[in-house]
Amino acid sequence: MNTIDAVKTLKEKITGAIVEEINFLGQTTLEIRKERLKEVLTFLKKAPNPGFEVLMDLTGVDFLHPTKRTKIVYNLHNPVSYARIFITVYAERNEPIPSVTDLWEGADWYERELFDLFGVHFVGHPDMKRILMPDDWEGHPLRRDYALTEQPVEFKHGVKPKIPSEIIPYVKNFSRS
Amino acid sequence: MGMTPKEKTPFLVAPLEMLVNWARENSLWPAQFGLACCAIEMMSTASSRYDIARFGAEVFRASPRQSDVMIVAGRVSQKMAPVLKTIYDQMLDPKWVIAMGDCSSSGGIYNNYAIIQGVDQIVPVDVYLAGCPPRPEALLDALIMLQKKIRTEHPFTRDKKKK
Amino acid sequence: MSKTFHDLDELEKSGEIMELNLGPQHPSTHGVLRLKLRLDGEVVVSAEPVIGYLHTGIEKECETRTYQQVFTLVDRLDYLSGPSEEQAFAQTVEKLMGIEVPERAQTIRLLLLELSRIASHLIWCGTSALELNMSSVFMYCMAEREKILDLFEEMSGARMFPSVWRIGGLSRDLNPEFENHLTAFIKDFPKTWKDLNNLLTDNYVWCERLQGVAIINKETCQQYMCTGPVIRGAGISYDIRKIYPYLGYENYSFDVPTYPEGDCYARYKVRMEEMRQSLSLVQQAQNRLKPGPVLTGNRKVALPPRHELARSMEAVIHQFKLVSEGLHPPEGELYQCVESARGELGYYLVSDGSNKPYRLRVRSPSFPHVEVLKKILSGLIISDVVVAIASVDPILGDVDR
Repeated sequence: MNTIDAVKTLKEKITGAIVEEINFLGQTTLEIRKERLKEVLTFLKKAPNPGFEVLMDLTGVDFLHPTKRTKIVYNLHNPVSYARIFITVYAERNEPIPSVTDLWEGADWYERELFDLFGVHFVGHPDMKRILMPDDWEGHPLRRDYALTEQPVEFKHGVKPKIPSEIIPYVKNFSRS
Repeated sequence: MGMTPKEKTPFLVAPLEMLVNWARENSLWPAQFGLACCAIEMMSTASSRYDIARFGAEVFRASPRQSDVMIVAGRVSQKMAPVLKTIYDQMLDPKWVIAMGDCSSSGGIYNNYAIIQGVDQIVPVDVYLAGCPPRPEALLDALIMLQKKIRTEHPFTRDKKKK
Repeated sequence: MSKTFHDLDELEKSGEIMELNLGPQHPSTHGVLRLKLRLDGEVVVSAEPVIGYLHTGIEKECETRTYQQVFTLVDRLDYLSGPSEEQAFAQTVEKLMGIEVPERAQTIRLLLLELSRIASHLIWCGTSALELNMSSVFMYCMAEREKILDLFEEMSGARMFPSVWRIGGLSRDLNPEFENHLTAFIKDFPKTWKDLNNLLTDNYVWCERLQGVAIINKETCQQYMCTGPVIRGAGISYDIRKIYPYLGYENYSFDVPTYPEGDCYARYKVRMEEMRQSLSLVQQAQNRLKPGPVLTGNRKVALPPRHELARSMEAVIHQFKLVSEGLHPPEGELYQCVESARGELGYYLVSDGSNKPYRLRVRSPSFPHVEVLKKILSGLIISDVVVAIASVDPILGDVDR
């Protein structure tokens, strides 16, 4: 079953869960309310019609505007019809999210990585601890307000030290057009 | 250094320091410390085209207690730094360190929270080798430079001077 | 020889468990992987992999670099098949911006991708055999890989990371000598493959150590999102080159080898067969090379050629803007995947319309493969642990990022 039919079936079976639906270059992204997340994922996995049995990726994107929050993205894959769908949910700072380790065992390390790098807590996870940073590290590095902690690069002959990420500055739009 | 003139009792005479240094420089056994991409080039140096065995460094010992030189090949992260120091401390004197590649010499292309900017912040380094990754010939050049350094140092007061 | 699970529970209670720490610096691991093993004699009761010893912060660093500078950073993630990483990133940005890559560039990209796949499998074969103390296989594989690195060096000047990918094509064309050397390599490689096959496939020691060890079946693959040779060794034919084709793979003819047993020997056979299929793809790509441009003509995205800079003011302005500021993709999020030597390599790019990516997420194929070790290592003896880790083929640069 392809993604468009799956979204239609989802809207029929579970009402009021979808906040926003985006279709961009052949990729469908659904934003789900946090309370209905587990219900939607269980339906998409277990029901034979959508049949998105494999969780390919579980990641996060951090935002500072309008509020400080992290968007968690679930990348689901259908092994029979090779359709893909992206489910997103927003988590404010210090707001816990239900864990999906009972649906997919392999989501264990992905959720630990999200906790380590973004600071998102998962309720129902067997062993929530840091995975990539040392155990006594403070802070969550991939948040947007965590500095990159660069050392300035020194030069000879009296040239001022430079910070590598500021050599080409951040430019929002084309300055000409 | 010289040979005694009589043919019946041939002796080779040399200063003791020169013989000790000659033995040390031609049998440097590296401790395996390959971390990332530079480790693959280290493996290429140990294989048949760029043979490191002809310089005496054939056996890459896994145990640090049995090795002389530690080739730090790859980027050293925050979690790996205490491990590096433990392995260096376990090596017995005399010991040397080659910092192979840009990431272990100076942090390389990474300048962020996770990578130590230069392994010489943790262990004293004898030879720095630039490249990303350095060619196997460059690693052999670093080994030859280390051999030259060993040849010119005093083998018995070297550790006292360090302290 | 493996104990059943109810025996293991009783052992835990009796207090005879020994904890052994394998790594992070150890000759038998593919990179800095640490395994906390709990042993009863020689049988592993449970294993916990600990990663993070090579965490480089590449994802955060990519947020502060322009799109062209990101190529050098992501190259070094999966350092044995750097071209796959570059292709995945270039594919994501090109699809986001709607850029068409010229046909000659696509053919050359495919050629380099398949050559790097052969090189990566050769290193896998060599190091796995080295861990089982067959060091002559290691020497044969590394000697053959040197020929591929010579081809890369001829293409770009660098051995391991030929960073010739640009957004919209390649930075340089092949020189005329490249095709002669490539023909010589294609003629010589089947002989080496046959040597490796004769040394390993029916070798009694190899078969005894690899058959029946560390079985990953279909359910485990689905629960742990394994891809690549791991899932093809379990009987499921999942290859991104056939399912979501890119770079014109739908026009080439090749097979996807699949073996149903799910043990280390099946994964070994999958990789050996993949090397042959990659060689045939390289030959097909070489026959399809037609003269043409290798970089798109869209000046907002790709640098103009040097001879135009002397004549046209517009070209100078475009070059200045691209070098000092970079290109601007439209706002949006996109996920694109590529079949690397280890499995599905996916890039999730979030762009906010500026000259630097807002978020670049790398879905690495080795991350779930190292995670599945905590399930398949229970019940094996220590010498099988080494074989199991080698057969799964993790690259810790990809896992830790």
